[in-house]
Amino acid sequence: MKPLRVALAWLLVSLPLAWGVTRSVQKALPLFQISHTHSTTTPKP
Amino acid sequence: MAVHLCIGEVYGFSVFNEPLTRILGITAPTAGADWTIPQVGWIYSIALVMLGLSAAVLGKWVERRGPRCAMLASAACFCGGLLVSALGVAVHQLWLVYLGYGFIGGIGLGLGYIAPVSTLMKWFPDRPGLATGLAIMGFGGGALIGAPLGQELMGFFRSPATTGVAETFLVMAVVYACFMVFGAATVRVPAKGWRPEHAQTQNHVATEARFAVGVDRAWTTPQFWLLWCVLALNVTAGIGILGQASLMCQDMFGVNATVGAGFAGLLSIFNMGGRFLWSSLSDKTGRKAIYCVYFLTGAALYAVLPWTQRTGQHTLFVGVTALIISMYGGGFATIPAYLRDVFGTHQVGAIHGRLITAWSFAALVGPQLVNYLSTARKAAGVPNSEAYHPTLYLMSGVLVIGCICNLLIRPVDVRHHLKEGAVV
Repeated sequence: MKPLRVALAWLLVSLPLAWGVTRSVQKALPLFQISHTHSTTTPKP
Repeated sequence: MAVHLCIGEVYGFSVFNEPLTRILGITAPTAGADWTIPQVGWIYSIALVMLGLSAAVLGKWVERRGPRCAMLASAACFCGGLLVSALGVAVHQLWLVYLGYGFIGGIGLGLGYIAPVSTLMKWFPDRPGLATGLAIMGFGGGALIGAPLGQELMGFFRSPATTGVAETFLVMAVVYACFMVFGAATVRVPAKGWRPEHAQTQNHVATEARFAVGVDRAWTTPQFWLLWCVLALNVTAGIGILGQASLMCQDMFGVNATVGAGFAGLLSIFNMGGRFLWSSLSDKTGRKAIYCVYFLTGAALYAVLPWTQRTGQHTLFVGVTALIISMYGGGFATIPAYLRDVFGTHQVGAIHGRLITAWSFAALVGPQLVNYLSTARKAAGVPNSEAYHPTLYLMSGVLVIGCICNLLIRPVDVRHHLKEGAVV
């Protein structure tokens, strides 16, 4: 395969994956904000 | 990767569970008429069972017809299954959804899962772990795309008259068909005996299997069943966290559902990354050694998790679970390379297909086990925050047994090897 086609093929699979990873990281951020703001936990009884 | 990123969508199917329970009620389930969560849950279970069965039964066909044909068949089944499911949702017939996403789609999952594995190992004869890590990494990443894509599409199509599920299935079928056909059109099988340039100049012969065991003989050997146990126990332990991640995080640390969902998403990233990194590392360490690392480190980390909850260490809890899940993914991705080391490259795809039944078994048993134990503890009056502790210790023990199975694996007796003329 020519390098351009290889690059395009990688781009085609990488772009949606990067979008998915970004979305997941954004959703996970509150988890770390809680870790920083609370030194102790209040688990459900 | 294009094929695996698509079929990996099955990991994110849970985003459809709740909307599928209010197809008639639209805003809320209509009692007695709408489907229930347990009924909808069977769609995922049927798909996983069919994944294992189709990979086991059709593995030899995949080896015979090659990856392109198998990938096209996978695309036809997976996307066709989505179309049948869309019809099932539109006419509100649950059996059509079982048939579509579960049965037909499940066959597509099995075909697509094993199709690229042996081909990639042929392209990287000196780095089989890297090769299988690349292929199977996509399956782990499928949920990262499929889940948010499903949510976005349902949000786009939602109206006072529809939940948007049927329309979402239709669009996903078309989009995934394009991607999977692109993958099938791109894949190439190297010429027999092909080796990369650097491998021709270096002595990589020692790292390559120079014998072959046929699939029908392979699964009569103790090595196959020990590897089956290795995969089944690794998956059972991993699913112990992955399947319950959101709820476990909420119960153990008292966080809300949004944070719990974020935690589950984060684990998916590590599940995907671990598949590539750990599997690639196995080329340096050897397969048996890396599985010992997965099992022993995993067992120790599982035993530490209750302590992180008791001491309120959120960040440590996240870090430990992320490491466990990365090794769970690594176990998935390294197994084809392990099979190739033990049985040779000749029919490794077909052998891998039969081994995948271990995954189906564990995917059904693992979550049920965790569910049962935690529910029983909560019912007995144990605080939610401590309900998971015995489960975590149990998973630690499961991994120790897995390590023992791994250590028992020895080279296959030469009487099982195919004669040179039989390897075509």
